[in-house]
Amino acid sequence: MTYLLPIVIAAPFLVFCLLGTLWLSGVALSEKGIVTITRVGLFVSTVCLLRLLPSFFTGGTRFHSADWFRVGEYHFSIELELSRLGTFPSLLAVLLLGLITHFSSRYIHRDRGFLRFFLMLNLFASGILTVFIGGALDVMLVGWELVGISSVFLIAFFQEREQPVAGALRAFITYRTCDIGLLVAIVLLHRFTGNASLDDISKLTSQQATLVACLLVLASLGKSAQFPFSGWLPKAMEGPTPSSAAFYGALSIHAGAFLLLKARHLLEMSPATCWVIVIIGAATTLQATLSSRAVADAKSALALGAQAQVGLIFIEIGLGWDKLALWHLCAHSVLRTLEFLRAPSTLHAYHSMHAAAGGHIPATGQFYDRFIPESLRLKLYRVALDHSWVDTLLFRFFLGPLVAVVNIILMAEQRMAPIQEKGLQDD
Amino acid sequence: MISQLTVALAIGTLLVSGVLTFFLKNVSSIRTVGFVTALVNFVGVLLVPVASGNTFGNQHIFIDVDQVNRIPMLASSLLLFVTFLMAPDSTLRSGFVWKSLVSIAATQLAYTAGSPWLMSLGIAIAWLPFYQELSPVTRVTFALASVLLPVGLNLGDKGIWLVFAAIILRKGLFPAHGWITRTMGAGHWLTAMLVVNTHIGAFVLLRTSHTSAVWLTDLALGTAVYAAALGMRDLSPRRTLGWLSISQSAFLLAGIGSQTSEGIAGSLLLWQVVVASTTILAGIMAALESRMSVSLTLKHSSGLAARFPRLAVGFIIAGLALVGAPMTLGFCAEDLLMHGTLAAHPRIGILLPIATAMNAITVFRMFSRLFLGPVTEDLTDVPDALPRERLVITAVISFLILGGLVPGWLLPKTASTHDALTTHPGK
Repeated sequence: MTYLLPIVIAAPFLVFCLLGTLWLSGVALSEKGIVTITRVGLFVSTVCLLRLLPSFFTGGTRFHSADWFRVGEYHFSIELELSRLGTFPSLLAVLLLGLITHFSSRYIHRDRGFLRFFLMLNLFASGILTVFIGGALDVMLVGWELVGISSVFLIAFFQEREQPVAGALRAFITYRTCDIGLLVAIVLLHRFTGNASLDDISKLTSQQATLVACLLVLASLGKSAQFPFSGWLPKAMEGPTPSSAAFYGALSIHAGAFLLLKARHLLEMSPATCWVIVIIGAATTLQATLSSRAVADAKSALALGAQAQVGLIFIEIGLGWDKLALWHLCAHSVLRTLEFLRAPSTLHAYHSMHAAAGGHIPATGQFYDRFIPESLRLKLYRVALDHSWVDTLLFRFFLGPLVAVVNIILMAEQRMAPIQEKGLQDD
Repeated sequence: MISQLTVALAIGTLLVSGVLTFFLKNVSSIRTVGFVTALVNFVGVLLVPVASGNTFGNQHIFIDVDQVNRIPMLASSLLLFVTFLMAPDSTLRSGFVWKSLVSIAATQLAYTAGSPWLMSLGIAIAWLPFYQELSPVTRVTFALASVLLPVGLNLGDKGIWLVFAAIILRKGLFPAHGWITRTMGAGHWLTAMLVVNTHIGAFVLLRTSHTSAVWLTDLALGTAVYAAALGMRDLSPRRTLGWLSISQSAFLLAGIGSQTSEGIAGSLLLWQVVVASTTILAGIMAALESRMSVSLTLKHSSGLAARFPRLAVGFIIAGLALVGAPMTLGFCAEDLLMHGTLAAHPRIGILLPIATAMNAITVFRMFSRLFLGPVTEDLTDVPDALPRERLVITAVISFLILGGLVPGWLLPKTASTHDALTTHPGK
């Protein structure tokens, strides 16, 4: 039965390859064909997962392949594991992606990027399932990167406009910056323990555990849009609603929290890192909940709401309440997906509610905000509008000076090696 | 003996075709002769029996293919194959093919040379066909390296610093990196690739593998970060590709200098990735530029994906492979390099993932500025990828992806390269 585990990941990836190859070779598939092939891939993954479900009660399933590549003593083998931790998120992923596929078949109907959307959705499905059932960190890295790549391409889905493209670049910068943490953590784990498994960490000293744990926390901050890497999330809402639901409501945004849950034994060896996680979670929750009250559009408000909830999940992980964090993660995924998918019809739902009530329901004005003094409320509003100045401060004190130095060096380099190009003056 | 004869024939074919194309006037005939020659050369190098170990310094061997030069030889054939198919007609008219054939013949002579003098001679001749296209700084750099190398090699251990100086000059390490950006800016995209992508500096280090080269790894990593930082801010696509090339190919030296089997194997894998990816990137940009009335720029979004979707897909896949995206050969190369470099240089090795992350941002920034965003130029009558361009892009992408999925068929040779180097250090 263990052979079913790689099929779970391979099915959507093969669909991605098939759709891509057909497009490159000039075959024009109908929308119905694209959706059907996607459904088949997800159906195969779902059936395999359901077949493996009984193993949940017997300690999980492990798959260990021959070496992917080997050089000297170093080898990279593909280890997959359907553990108690990964079972529900994996099942949830295939079910929610199936739902989103169904929703998107109408929502993206006749859009020029219809094929592109489903290509990326399949790549994402393969990536997130690899994250959930990856048995070792180096395997998870493959999925982690695929999630990032598909995410940025879907943010830039409406590629003829400037803002989605800028939002995608911003998300990509954040992802890659934080992914350095995961890359270095993998290499260090290999050096300290001889492999990249998070279950085999008994050889680690307390200091080594803290170092690796901190790097994993850095990696998780990017994907889960936690403080101070939270500024990209509202800008990512430029993508189509179904992808926002899949990435920032249901799955991708929880990948960071899942990584920390997976690193539970490591965190137990490093209480200081746990407190760092609690502080980051609390800061994110406060910042996101404040900002969500000031944004003008529904999707950004939902994204910030999701960010705040993931902040709470981080607090739970930091405090060691793993089961609560896992249930919170699963429940939040489902609820937020529903909210995202309902977002485009919010006005319709609003009017329907009032019509059903027999007339306009008057506003109560009963918000928690009224407990705050009037004078402070205005100041907080200003803070909330600029997302608590996190991005501004980051740029002014960290990125800004770096960019300035790079610009000065670049100017000197350009003067030494000017380039004459047709129709353009080099600057 | 048979292998030496085959190598001589493979190199001789390049020279004979070089002379033939010098007299040809018809563009399609020039392209056909060039393409067939590159193919014959590639097949010859692929089929030639590989001598065991490191043949360099063996007095009985004039030229031969061994464990050390096999990958560089194949990469140089690949380079010819890609450039001849990607080059626009206007480039072929300017004597590009005969210059390329003669230059690569000399480069392959340097790769396969059994004696230091023959290697130095090959290196000294290889750049001369492109003399007119190169900037004065590049000519001086190459001439200086051509003098320092034979003198250094002749002096033995006393002259090792001269050899290192030649390596720094030819590899374009800081502060001798200026010739690469100048070459990218002065000549044609593909001419620059032919000069830059032979990686003479890295090859000389492979041949003269020396334990005192540890500091060279530090310098290479420093150069990688420096170039990566400048690449993130440059607005000229030509120079940006130059920065990318400097940064990614500096990793080759870092891996070889690490003296670990993972580092060397990673370097030789990355060698192929850098040659394939950067040449495709340059070829695509040359193709775009030949279809447009103005130079490409990164100042604003150009929205070219709307008109050139296949070139856009080729660009992003080659770019992501270059920076180690999962499911590509670049991922395996970066993984091995990271393990090798961090094992040998625990502190400064951290620069490698940082530079990789910055290069990934540069690739996505280039892609988003060139291909995404609002369309700025009316390009209704220009074609997307031509059949020959489609052929070469598909072939290279298949190589990068299949190589990434099944890297094992490339690795046994590279692993034994390390054995060859460590068995005969200093030869």
